[in-house]
Amino acid sequence: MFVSQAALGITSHNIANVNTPGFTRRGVALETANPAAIYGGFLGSGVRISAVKRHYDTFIQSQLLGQHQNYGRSFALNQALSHIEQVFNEMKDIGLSRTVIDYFNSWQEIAAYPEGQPQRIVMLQKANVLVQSARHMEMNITKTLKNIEESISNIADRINVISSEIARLNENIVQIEAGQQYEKAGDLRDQRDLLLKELSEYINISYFEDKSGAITIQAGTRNLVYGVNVNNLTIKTVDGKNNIFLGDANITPYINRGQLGGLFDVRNNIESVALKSLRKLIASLIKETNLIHRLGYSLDASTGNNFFDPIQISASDYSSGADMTSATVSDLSALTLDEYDIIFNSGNYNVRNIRTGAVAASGVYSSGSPITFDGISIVITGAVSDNDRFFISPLTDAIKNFRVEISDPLKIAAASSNLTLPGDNGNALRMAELSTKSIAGLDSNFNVFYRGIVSRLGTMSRASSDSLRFDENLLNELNNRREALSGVSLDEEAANLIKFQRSFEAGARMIKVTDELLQTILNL
Amino acid sequence: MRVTQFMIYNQTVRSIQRNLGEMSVLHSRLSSGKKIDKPSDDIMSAVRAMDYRLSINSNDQYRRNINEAVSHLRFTEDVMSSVSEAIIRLKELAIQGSDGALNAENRASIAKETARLTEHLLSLSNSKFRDRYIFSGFRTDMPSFSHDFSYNGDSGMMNVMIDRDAAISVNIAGSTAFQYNGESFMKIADDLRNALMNNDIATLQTSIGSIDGALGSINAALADIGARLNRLDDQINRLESADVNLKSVLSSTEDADFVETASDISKAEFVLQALRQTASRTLSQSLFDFLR
Repeated sequence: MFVSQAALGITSHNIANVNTPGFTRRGVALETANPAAIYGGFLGSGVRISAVKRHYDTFIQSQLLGQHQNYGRSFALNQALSHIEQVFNEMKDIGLSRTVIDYFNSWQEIAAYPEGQPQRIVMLQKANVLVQSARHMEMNITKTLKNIEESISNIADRINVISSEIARLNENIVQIEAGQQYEKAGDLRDQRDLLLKELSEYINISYFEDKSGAITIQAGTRNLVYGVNVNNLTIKTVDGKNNIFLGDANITPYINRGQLGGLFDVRNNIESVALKSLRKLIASLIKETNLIHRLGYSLDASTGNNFFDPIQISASDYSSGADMTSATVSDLSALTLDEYDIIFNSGNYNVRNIRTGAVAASGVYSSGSPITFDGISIVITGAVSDNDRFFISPLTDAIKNFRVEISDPLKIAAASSNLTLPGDNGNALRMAELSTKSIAGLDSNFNVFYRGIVSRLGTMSRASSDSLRFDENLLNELNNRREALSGVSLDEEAANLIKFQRSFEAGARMIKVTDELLQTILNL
Repeated sequence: MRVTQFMIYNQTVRSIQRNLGEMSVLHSRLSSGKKIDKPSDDIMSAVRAMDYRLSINSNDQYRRNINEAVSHLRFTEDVMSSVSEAIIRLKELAIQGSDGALNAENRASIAKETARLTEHLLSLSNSKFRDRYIFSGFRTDMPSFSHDFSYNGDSGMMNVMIDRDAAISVNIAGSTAFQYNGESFMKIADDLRNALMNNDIATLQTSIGSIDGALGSINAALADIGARLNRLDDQINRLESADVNLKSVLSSTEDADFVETASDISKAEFVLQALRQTASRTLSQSLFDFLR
């Protein structure tokens, strides 16, 4: 009867936890009690509980954790990419292609009526609209990137909470199970498994359980949780980006799955595809427009003027003692719109084009004398040591500094000579023709280049939503398999309830019979 | 395989979610009328649609340019026709004046009409269209000819784009349209007037030769304008039919088929209803319902 009661207790525990996430159903394993030797034979002495078993499969569990890591990655990728895709959603006329074509069309309007004030005013407006939409797009992209940085640090915080929680559970499990034959701390183990699942969704980990029942979790190459000890993740900024450190080691390169893995991945993709390409497009638009505009003559016969604010070169200093005193465009037409590294070694400088890998310039460094390459002129002062590095980019601030320099419609240079004013439209025509011309550095015209960005982002977003769906299905499949083994079935528990109730009743009956037998003897 | 309540529950929720998701896609397709909501829905079509839209947009601009060019050229054509009439009248007067039966007085009265024609020609040569002197080349802010009949303009040709790589000039420089042999028509008319006034028959004869030459260059100019207008007419027809084509392929690329979408919605509704019905039955029951 005690056994039946205990079994009923287990059943009620199962039923009570039917909706508890991560709960593993229990079952009692019964065995016959040791028989007593009586009258030369063995008489059974009843039943006893040999163990309370968790219906649990470590293989499914580890598969589940792996899949959670995949799912977390796809989830993070998909979220950020579908966000970025909306910034370039040409299907809803959001994006640049309309404003770019409007800009070039308004040059054609000027070509058709070069002395017309209204055409010139409209042209300036269209150019300003183009500036606004490019800035708006960049702002949306950087906002997404900022959100990614925030998510990274939030997740790192959450991981630290989970780690200490797991360490605490490790301690409790080891205490409770010390010296026991079977896993006694089932509920605590369920909790720990649940935390492991959550952890897996955030970061790729590996773990193992030692004999005492404690688990060790590794992330990157280091221990995250070791018995009751926790190493907290810390966030450090490297090149302006959040990196994850475990102790003093930067484990960012090892994180490739889980939401963190997805976030790192998508951060790179967004930067290189969306942001950098957009900046390159705008920078080349500024460059080509200004090159043509400078050649033309405005209605007041002035020439050599920029249309957009000139491109500025930004530099990041990764040196120990040297300083960048100036970085300017010395020859706009020679500007490649590529980014460069200037690296120092035993007193020499080496300028490397990052996109092509080619050496753009090299020589002996002398403080304060300009280093000139591909239309850029750099002045560095101070002492340099080996492996000092400067990162040079005409793209970083391209959209930040994107502005229409001209405000007076008269200053628009539509004519190709000061002798042919005001009806000459030669320069305006040249500008209009830019829209279909293949641009050096983009290897196509503006529209085709932009379409390339949209289609690449679309492809990436599509791939991420496909793999999210795939990972979700697989995760669901594994959850079903786990559920099939470990989940609580109310029908089954109801049947168990009846089973154990019956055996309890039969046991009670037995007592009654024994009682009656005793009565009979007493009544003799 | 053991099947638990949780599995059934999960499965049902997922199926309903998926169907609701499909439903929302279909509804937004119906309300926007577009098959593609964002590029990743169908990248190839999205990129093609962008290309079509770009072509439609640039064709619009080319058509605007052509319309502008056409009105400019028509106006020029009208002016040149008036010039032609004036020159023909001039020739009549010259022939009339060279009649040996006329005396100096008769010639002087003819000279009065030639003077009027000279004025007329000068004002025609300084015609303005939309506030631009049309015969001054690029110097559109200056009258083409001064009162001493000298040309103030240049030989600049104003081009506009009428296709990706085709341009057409919309003007004729006064140096071509109003000059023959380096002499402006006004000068020729004035010379005729002087000859008539001076009763100078020999010069009169030379004038008739110049007037014939002027007529020739006017006809050449008119033919040139006519040819350009024809070309523009062809081009605008071409662009218009291209526009119709582009719009129809754009529509078939990105527009949703309403009938299909509506029937898809009712299909999805039916599935959803079936799901809800079965779910309400299976999820609400267990063995416990039968234990009394």
